[in-house]
Amino acid sequence: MYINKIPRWGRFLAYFVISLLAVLYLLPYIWMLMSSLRPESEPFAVGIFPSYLTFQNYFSTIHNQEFMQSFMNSAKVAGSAALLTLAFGIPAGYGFARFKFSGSSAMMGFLILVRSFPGILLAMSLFVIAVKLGLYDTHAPLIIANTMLNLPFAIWNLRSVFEATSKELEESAMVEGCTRLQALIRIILPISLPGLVATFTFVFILSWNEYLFATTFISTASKRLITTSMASAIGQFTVNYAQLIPAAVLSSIPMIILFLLIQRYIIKGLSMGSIKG
Amino acid sequence: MGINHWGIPRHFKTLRIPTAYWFVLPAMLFFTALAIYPSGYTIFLSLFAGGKGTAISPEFTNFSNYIVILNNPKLGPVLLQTCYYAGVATFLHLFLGFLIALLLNVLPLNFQFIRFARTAFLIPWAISPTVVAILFRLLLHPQVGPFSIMLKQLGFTGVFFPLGDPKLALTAVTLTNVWTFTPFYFLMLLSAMQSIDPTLYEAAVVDGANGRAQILHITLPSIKNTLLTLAIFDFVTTAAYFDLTWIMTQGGPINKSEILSTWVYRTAFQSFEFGKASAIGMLLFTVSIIFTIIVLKAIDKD
Amino acid sequence: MKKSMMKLLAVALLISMVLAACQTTASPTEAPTVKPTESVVTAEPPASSTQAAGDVVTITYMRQADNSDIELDYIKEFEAANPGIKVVVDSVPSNDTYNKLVLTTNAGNPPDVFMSFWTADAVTNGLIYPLTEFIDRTEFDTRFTTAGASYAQFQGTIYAIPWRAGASVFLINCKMFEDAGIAVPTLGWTWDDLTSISKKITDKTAGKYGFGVVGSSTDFATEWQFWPFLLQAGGKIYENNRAAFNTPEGVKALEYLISLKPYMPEGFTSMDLNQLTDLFVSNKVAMFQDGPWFIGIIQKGHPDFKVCVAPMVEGAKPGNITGGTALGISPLSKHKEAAWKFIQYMTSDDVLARWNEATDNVPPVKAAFENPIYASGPMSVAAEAAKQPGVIPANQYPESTNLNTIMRNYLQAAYLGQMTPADALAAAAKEWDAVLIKYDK
Repeated sequence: MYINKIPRWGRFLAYFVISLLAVLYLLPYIWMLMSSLRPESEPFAVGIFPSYLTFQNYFSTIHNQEFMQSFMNSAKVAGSAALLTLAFGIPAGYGFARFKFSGSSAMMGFLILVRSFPGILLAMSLFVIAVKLGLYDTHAPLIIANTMLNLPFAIWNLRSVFEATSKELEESAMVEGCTRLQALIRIILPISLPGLVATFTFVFILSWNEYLFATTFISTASKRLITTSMASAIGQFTVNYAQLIPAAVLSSIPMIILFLLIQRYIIKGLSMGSIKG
Repeated sequence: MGINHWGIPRHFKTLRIPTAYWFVLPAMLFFTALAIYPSGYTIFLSLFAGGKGTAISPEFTNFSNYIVILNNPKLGPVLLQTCYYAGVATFLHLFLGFLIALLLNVLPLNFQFIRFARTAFLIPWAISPTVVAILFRLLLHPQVGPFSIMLKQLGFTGVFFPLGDPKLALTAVTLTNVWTFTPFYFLMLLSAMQSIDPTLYEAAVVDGANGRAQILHITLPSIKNTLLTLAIFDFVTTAAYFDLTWIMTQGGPINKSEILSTWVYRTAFQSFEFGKASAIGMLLFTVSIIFTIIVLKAIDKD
Repeated sequence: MKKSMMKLLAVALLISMVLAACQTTASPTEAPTVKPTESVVTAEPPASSTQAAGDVVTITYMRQADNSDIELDYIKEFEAANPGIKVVVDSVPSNDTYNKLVLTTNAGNPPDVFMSFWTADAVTNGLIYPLTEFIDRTEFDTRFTTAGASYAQFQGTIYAIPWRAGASVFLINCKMFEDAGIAVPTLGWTWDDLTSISKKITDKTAGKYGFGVVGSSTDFATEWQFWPFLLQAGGKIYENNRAAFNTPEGVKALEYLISLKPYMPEGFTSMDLNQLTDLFVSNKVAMFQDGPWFIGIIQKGHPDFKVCVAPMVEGAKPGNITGGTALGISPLSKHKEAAWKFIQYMTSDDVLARWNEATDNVPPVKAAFENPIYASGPMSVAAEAAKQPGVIPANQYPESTNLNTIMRNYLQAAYLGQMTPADALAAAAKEWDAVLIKYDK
């Protein structure tokens, strides 16, 4: 939709409504932030608001070397998985978007349907493969498994991203002497940047938050990923919230930074549009 | 013929493979190599594993795993609950995601404000679902949970204990899922809306189209394929998604939030019957296929 | 053909770029070309888990990640005393230890030693090795308390060595009892006492409840807290490979528990132990029952809170269950001798005494009770609880987790008033028997 003028009162209303919705939507997260500052042994029955706020829990979390190590490990695994997915996904998505060829819809269907197997059944076989290859307790199978699990959607999504880009632009580039590949890299990729960034974010986050594989494929403490590290606070009988919640807040920070960064790419379209208007 | 280590024949010149395949094959080979074994193995187990663990029966089990599952009185309710869970979540993800994306895409508001608002709506997705599940258990606590405390202050006299209430448990888990994953669909829809050519709108404005007409005739048709893709992906993954349900309710109370994927888990790890678990997995697979076919038909109609 | 050459190159380039980015993490390139082989439970463990450097044997020990880290000190001590054995510690989040054992065993790569609170399940599913060749029956019976010894066995065979063990007790909020002018109950207190105390303390407008019960579908405490009442009513859990709780005694026990509902926090069918503890330490719930390990859990989480301990209540007769954790060996372990040596050290009188004292647990080994801390105070009540008549080990039936979950569902149905206690128990027994029939000999 294309709106370039709204009255002043409408603007205020819009700011108000959007802020209100955002705050309502974020209430559980705000509660989580607040609870992360709750004194360590204070029960939740004391009230929604802690009796006083303390950063002690954060200090303990940051000083926990294993936790910080798991943070880096997760960044490595999630980042690699996201890049690998794009490396496979971009050509494939482009291929599906631009060419009609036999078997293309069957392939697309096959991709998505494998995702309908419950992860636990997939994990069982993938785990056997990883062990047989001697890759147990390394990050490689986690990168590969996350790539594999997220590739179907990445391809589907990248296909729609490329379909939305103009064919004429690319064709004119090819008339000018570009190969198809050059056209893809120089013309199509830059204009589909929002889609690429969204796909990267998607794979990164799902890999970062993946739990089942991360817990079963790794055994050495120094190689542990952040989800396992956080779940260590969930015990057989009780949950150590003072350990869990600050860790969860810290674990969400890279994503939030990522969200802020991707705005630059996603917002571009809007600013271009409004300049023209 | 020589094969290099990407699995691509060296003398490809003589093969004359259509260009499309060169783009598609690396991903397809990678994916197939990894996916074919787990999925094949699941099918195999569902047909041949009749006993404990992954032990294979000496003879074909005559579909006994399937027969046992199909005769289980639990099947009907669990199927319905799975469809409710995945269906309602899919609908709300896309509906809310679309609304938020639209709201944050069309209004000519302050640049910085929009940027922060968009980030804010993405935040729930940043928290690990395992943690979300644990925290929502506490948030929905009948005594100390903020929800029940606020309800009490609003004058609600009953007891609000959704995770222990057979009528509310499934909905509570579904809404938790919606809270956690809507940001993802919002992001995808937003990026789809961003790639719509602005000149389309300009032309529409010149033709005198109002806001609603623009949404109906430009926005929706342009992102229709993305929407349908997301719908398939959403339904398929949500139906197979088990973490939230398992941690929040373990399918209870009284099995009222049990879905196919928790049933798979229960059968595999508690009863240790991987054959039956795989058969339930295949059932889930079938449900997903049916849904996918319906949606794909809708795409093909154009 | 130059064009296709370009395409190929570009694809290759893209792939290699990414591969370079993750070169440090072994080589993902290998994966797509691999032909996976069939998996069987008896597969050989791969070299990585059993790598021997010189004469050093490496064993993997899977523990619960939330356990006290003092445990790691004992492991270091063991390694120092046994230079030939290196222990790799895998700290797994508690709720996933069992899954991980299943998945790793299936892949032929299980931990050599693991801490188990699901011994019965591990036995039924062939995930744990009988220790008959390592430990002498009489030695086992004389060294360990009944609570510890019985829980580490399954149908008469020793499968694990107890690490912590105990019979359920009543955890009492000292302050709430004091405020109400009620003395902490002592041995021989009855259902009637439980009712009257609960009633006396309950003051709903002040948010105070006499008795807390776990009713959540996610928590095994739901059925755990029911079993003692069943036994006290004269009922049985399991007999002759069939469910045995579907009797008038069972109904009586369940009806009694339901009669206490007015004194329990509302909505308890969504409450797990964790949430109950929160209410307990904030003086909103006066008592609940669980294993003696809960004393340590509460002390650790809420050092300022004073917890009192009362023995198990008695019904028509005394009755209680024991549970705990124990150390077991995987049947696929290539280093069973080393694994056993490790268990021997970890469960030596000295280590068990130290660990249990440090973590406020009741030791499973008799020798440790010479320590004066078990002679009086809350720990003595906890220690005595296991010695009472009518105490049986929990989970002594096949597929215990599965059966327990079934029971939990029907207990909830009865608590919620959706089924009568009699119907609920009958339905649960029917489902139990449908599972148990597979294990008829």
